[in-house]
Amino acid sequence: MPKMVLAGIEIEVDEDGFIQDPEKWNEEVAKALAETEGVTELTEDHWKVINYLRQYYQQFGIAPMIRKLCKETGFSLKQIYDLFPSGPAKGACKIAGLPKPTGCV
Amino acid sequence: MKQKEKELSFCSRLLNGPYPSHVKELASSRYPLEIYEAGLKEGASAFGPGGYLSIPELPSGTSLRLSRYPEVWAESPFIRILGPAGGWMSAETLEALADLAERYGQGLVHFTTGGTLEIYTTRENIVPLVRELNALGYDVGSTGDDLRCITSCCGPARCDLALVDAPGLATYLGQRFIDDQQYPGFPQKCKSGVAGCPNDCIRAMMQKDHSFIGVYRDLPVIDELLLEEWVKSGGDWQGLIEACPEGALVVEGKSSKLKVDPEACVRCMTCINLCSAIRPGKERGVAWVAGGKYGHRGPKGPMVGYVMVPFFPIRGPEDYDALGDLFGAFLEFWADQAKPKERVGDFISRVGPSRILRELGLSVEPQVVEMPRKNVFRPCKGTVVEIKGAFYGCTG
Repeated sequence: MPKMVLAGIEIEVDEDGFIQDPEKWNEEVAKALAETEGVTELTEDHWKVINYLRQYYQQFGIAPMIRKLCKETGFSLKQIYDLFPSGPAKGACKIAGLPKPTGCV
Repeated sequence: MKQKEKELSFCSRLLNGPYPSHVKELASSRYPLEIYEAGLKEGASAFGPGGYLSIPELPSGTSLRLSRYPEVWAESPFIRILGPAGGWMSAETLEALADLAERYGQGLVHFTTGGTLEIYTTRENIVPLVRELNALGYDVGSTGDDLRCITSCCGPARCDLALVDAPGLATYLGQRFIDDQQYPGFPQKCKSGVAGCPNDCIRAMMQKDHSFIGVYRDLPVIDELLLEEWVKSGGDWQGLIEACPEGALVVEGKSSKLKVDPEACVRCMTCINLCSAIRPGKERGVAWVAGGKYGHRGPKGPMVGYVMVPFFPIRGPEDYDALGDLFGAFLEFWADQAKPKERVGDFISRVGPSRILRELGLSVEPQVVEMPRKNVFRPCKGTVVEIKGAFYGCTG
């Protein structure tokens, strides 16, 4: 399993760069991951999505369905793509420190 | 050349004969024929599964095919261009697209059955190619779990039978729902089309998940003088009467006058197609049909669409907004309630058309939900109460 140094910590990632241990995630790691996904600054809107994804993941152990993410955060899918250019799965979930989603996000 | 033909013995066989040859087209582009040949030789497709391509800026409209012969051609990324309603393209546009395919791709354009065009290219060429395409007024979309390109027949721009402006309505829907075509957020793909009349040349009833079909509500109009001329010029009026699937064409008394039985007529196009003296009625609109799909995907297999609402009047573009509202409301309802990967047809058959109509605030007509593919204009003995839950496993 490849490793990456993110915010000074060495973290195991999968072949697509998703961190393997969600416990190792912190806000600094999120910022470092954001840079790899073309997000230069994490704004309040970014955090709203990231925090929702983490909260959902901690509760249910999976990433939410894409429509649920949009409804709960109040952002349209287009706005999510504007915030995270590589999309809700490859962008937002990765930055939120979730494992690579297999489902619909 | 002889050597090459020998090497490509399977493909070469497909080059000859009077019928147009796809191999000839592939060979005159930069498509590596060796890969097709290798697959034919092995008796299996040369390509493995496809996949999503994650390209920032392009949530949909690009995809990928992985080859099983990476030494010949590792992968084939492509873009899918949303085609204009009606399927027209000027020679000028085609030349511009040909130029793009030549410069960024393999000099090859693929016309899909879903009304789109694909250009095969490379990963690094995708974004510059799409930028040039945007400058031409075209955009990509229609891949993945989203609303697919909204196709239509040629409508009144080229057909005398068109009851509504099918390409006009398709363009309206395409523009209003462009985000749904470019941002995949549905449980499954949703194909859509607008047909100008019940002849349904674009197969909206069977091939599309969520469509409108032009219909008329009053009776076919018979022009007696023209009919007389038609018979005099050798028109087979006996054949015409027999052709009606419902036996709705009757001869009045001993005269040679034809009459349409209003109780029996299902407003199809059979007599209208056969005889130029019979024209569609004047009260025109669209039927909303949903759930058609070809192929054996999903538990129900191939399905003919449900006629959800048999008639919405269309007097002109001023009525499009209401249709768009319904179109969007159903997409939302399906996307919220469907199981992952559940096509519209399987969804409707699971929850029942009655419940969907009620959820969307539409009235549930017994003659529509009881016999959805029969005559929705004929009065029915059943009542909504009897139908509730009885026919389609409706839980509402």
